[in-house]
Amino acid sequence: MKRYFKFLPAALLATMLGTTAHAGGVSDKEIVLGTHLDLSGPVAAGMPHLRNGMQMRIDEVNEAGGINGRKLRIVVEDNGSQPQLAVRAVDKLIRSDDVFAIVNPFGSGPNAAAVKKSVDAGVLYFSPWAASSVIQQISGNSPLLFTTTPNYNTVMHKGVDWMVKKYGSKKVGYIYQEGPLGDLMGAGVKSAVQANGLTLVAEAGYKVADIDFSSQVARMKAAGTDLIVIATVTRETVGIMSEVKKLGWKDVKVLTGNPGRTGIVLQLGKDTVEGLYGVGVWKAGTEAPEVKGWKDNFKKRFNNMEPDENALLSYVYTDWFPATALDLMFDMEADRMRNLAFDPKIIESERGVVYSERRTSVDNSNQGLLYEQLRAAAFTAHPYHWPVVGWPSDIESWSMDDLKAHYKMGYAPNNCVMVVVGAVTEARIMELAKKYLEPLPQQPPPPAIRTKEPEQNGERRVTIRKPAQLPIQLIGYHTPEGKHADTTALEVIDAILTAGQSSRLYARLVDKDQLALNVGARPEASLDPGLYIFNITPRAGIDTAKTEAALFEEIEKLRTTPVPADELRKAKNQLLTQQYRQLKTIAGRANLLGTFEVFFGDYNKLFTQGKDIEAITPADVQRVAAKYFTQNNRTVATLIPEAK
Amino acid sequence: MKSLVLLAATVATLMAADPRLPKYTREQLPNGVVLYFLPKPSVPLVNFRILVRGGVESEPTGLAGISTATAQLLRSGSTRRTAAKFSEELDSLGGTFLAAANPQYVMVASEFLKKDFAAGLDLTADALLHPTFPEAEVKKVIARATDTVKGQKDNPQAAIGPYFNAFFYGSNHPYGRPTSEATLAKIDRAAIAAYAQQAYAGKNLVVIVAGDFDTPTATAALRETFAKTPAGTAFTPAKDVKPTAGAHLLLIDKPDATQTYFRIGQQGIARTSPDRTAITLINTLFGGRFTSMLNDALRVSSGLTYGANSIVDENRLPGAITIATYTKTETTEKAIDMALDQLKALNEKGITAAQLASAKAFVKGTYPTRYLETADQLAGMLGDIEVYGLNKGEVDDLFSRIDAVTLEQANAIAKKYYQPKDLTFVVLGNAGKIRDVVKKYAPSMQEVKASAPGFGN
Repeated sequence: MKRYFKFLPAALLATMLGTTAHAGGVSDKEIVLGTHLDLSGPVAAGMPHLRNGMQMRIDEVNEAGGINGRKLRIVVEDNGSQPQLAVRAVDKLIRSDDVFAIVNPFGSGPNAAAVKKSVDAGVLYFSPWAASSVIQQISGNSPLLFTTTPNYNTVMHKGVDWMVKKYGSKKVGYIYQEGPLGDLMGAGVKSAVQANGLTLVAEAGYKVADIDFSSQVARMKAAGTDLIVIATVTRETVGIMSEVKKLGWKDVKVLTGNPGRTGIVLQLGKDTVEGLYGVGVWKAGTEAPEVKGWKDNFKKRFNNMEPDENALLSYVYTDWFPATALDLMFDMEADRMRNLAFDPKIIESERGVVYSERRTSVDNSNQGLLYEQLRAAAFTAHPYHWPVVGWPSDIESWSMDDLKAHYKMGYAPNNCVMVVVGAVTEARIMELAKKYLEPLPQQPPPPAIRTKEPEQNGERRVTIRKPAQLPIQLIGYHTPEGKHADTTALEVIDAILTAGQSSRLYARLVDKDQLALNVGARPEASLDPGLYIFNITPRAGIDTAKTEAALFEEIEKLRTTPVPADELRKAKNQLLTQQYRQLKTIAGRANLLGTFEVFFGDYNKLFTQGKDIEAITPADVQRVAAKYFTQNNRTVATLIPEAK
Repeated sequence: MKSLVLLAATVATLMAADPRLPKYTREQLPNGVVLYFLPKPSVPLVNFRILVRGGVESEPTGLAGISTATAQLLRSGSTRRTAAKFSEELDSLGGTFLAAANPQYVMVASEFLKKDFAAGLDLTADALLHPTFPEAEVKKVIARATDTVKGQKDNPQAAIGPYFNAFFYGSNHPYGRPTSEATLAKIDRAAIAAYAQQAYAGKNLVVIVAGDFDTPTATAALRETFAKTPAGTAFTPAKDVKPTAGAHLLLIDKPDATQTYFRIGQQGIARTSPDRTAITLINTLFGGRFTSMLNDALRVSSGLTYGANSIVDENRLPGAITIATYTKTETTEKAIDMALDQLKALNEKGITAAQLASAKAFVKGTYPTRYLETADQLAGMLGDIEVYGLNKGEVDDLFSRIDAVTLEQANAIAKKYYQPKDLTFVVLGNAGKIRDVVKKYAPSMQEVKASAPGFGN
């Protein structure tokens, strides 16, 4: 047997227009889908493959937990290859089954008759196996219609063109099913013939239910045809080939389109269809491992039935339907991790954007300006010296190559942690991760930061003078990396000093002494040793020597006097309730898990954090305060208002 | 295969179920206090959210800031607790307590562990119903508020808002009277006590409990706590007050600024406007999300700014629709022109069916986590429903209201509300460098110094 299937990429007509969709068929437990297939009639023999392909994907989705917990269920109706029966089937699916969508309905004639009924009722019509552009037109270009079958005219044009060029066909004839299938395929046949400087020598139509094709084939023979193109589906394909063979006609080639080029035609026709050429969307004989695996899976599920390309296509189209936003998110994440576009024009505009970010968050922000200076003074060697947004001259001068190198280094799967929180199942997420993320190539890990910040052996001071209404004071102490054992004690200290209006610093600086408008702290989770920064906004006209003196006094108390039991209890209560607050949203949960995994070394530490906090004693507080909050270890940055 | 992926997204959007408010109950006590109970036991926390109708709208003329100052003082001394004792008890429970004023109500929001329901309610109600406003505490709060106003001037993005409100609404409008050093100077203990007595009356209170709690216990406790609150007189809001907005420009001089911050405003809608759904969709496309006309033009394509957006005020009285962004001093004119070009383009060309579909999907997709995910968000939604006289259809029918907006309606709304004329400009930057550039945008220009007290009012 000799056949040739030309591969054509699926030309997908996805319509993205506004929709008024019907929300029927969706309950807390399930999503009901419907379809109508030719369970009887001339193409019935091919339907089990198509139906099983669809069922296989639906079963897989349900096995992985469904869609947001809802299982898919499909109701199958018979259209008997007849338009009026298709309309009746769609009517039944909408009215009595209340389906959410009609998926994979079969046949150009039946779909042409039924599509309008569905979209007018607000029911999604997904992937009709039919002449796509004709169905689109009939639906009034409804945004509820999604077609997946490549347009037959395009496919036939390519097929005929290939045949003519390959075999030097001179006289092309055309036998077609009357209706949308034949019309659309005919358009492609004619355009290809014309493009090769030929004319169609004979045309002959037949009706859907016809079983005798002798007159059509005779007409082809009479015209001296050397290539017969047939717009057929199942039974007619075999019928026409059988007529050709009966005549003992050897010097002719027969080409069918995607609907006629199916495994079931081979099964039914056997030797009769030997010599038939077919054009379609899937290259037969593909024995890629994933296809083989899929075939084995299909056979296992369906009693050793040999799948054909329609079974695979039906599976694929069905897969596109329940694809949720999750697929899109994974696809986008994988895409931007691998394929970032470096468009020089966008890079230049982004340079302006980043500079604007710097102007906003640093140059025109007193807090930002002082913070940058504090860090630059506190870190003399370690890269934390540098502001993340970059110094102005950095922003002005980074090059395309710099960006590409940085992208390649950082945005690699071996350098990322993905956290997914929400209405998902682990099985589904792992399926998607394997599909989208696993194929991403690893990169060499980012170079280790070898430079360690040397111990600070004396207080540093930075001053900024500029026009301002209020002074600002930032006082930073070097503290260890997030994974360090002292991190929890530092969090408790932070609560004692700054959480709430009864905290030591608020009570002293803001309330009692009225030196400051507010006082806070900025504990930073960091990979390498970082800074714990106190942030004071002194009241207008207050000498910053007074605010810092008050802060140092409070710190000294913490270093020298054990924290009273009830005050420690209060701080712990604040931290524990704060944890619940962070767990309120799915984004908060994801953020916590990610922070613990990346900065604290293990997301599991999140689940023991309560215990870790409980374990902190007054002695721990005193020891940790004494260790880090020393004069030699601090950098004091002050912004002093200047009259303009 | 890009289209394939978009297709999947569309299908997913279609399949998401319409959001619904969880079950809740509402009752009104004889003294007018409205109680809401909305159980949502996802984390062991309970929220109390109390709205006091009035807010900024209820401030006596010349005393702007009194509703905020009063709210801040609630925790600073009651018949049973000193300020320090309140803070000590609150912090010991790990609770939070927030009191702030917005244009139409004061909001007191507190949150406690489920097990501390009784203690949390006691603290919250004590502050709300029995404040004593000690003289010393009043002085502290007013002094800090005065410095807060000053400090706002150090942050252009925070400062431009009050300047815009004063200039757009005008001093005859309750939204056009920002708190300033001068108004705070007139607020004393007597004024606060008098204001509180009138404002914090039963007829003005809406008390919402949301989160993890036992409903029968909570219902009994809330009824008992609020039964004795004097009914007082219900606040009656002013009617038919309109912004004095029109074609004029305010320039605020901040000589050390290296960026120009600007807002361009025009007349918008009230919270209850029937046009709100369509405006939300249009504004999403114009400047309400990252991929919007304004951000595409001013940020993505030209790099003139870090971000450009469009804001729709949603208050009891009609407010502004405002373009807000900033750019370096040298590109002030270019950025303003570009923003105006986008406004003109929206007005003249409208939007396409595909854009409308995208806006609908965006608004639907972001709605649940913006408004319905947590107990405090849900409490906020119930508060809005009560204060603005809405019903649960506000949430339950949202998606059908969105679906019902046709392209023709959306474009009519774009034409009506996004007009490139009669615009109010507020520009903050280095006046010496931009004065000559910006004066062309309006027939009249006023100039103030950022270092001067107040907000040009």
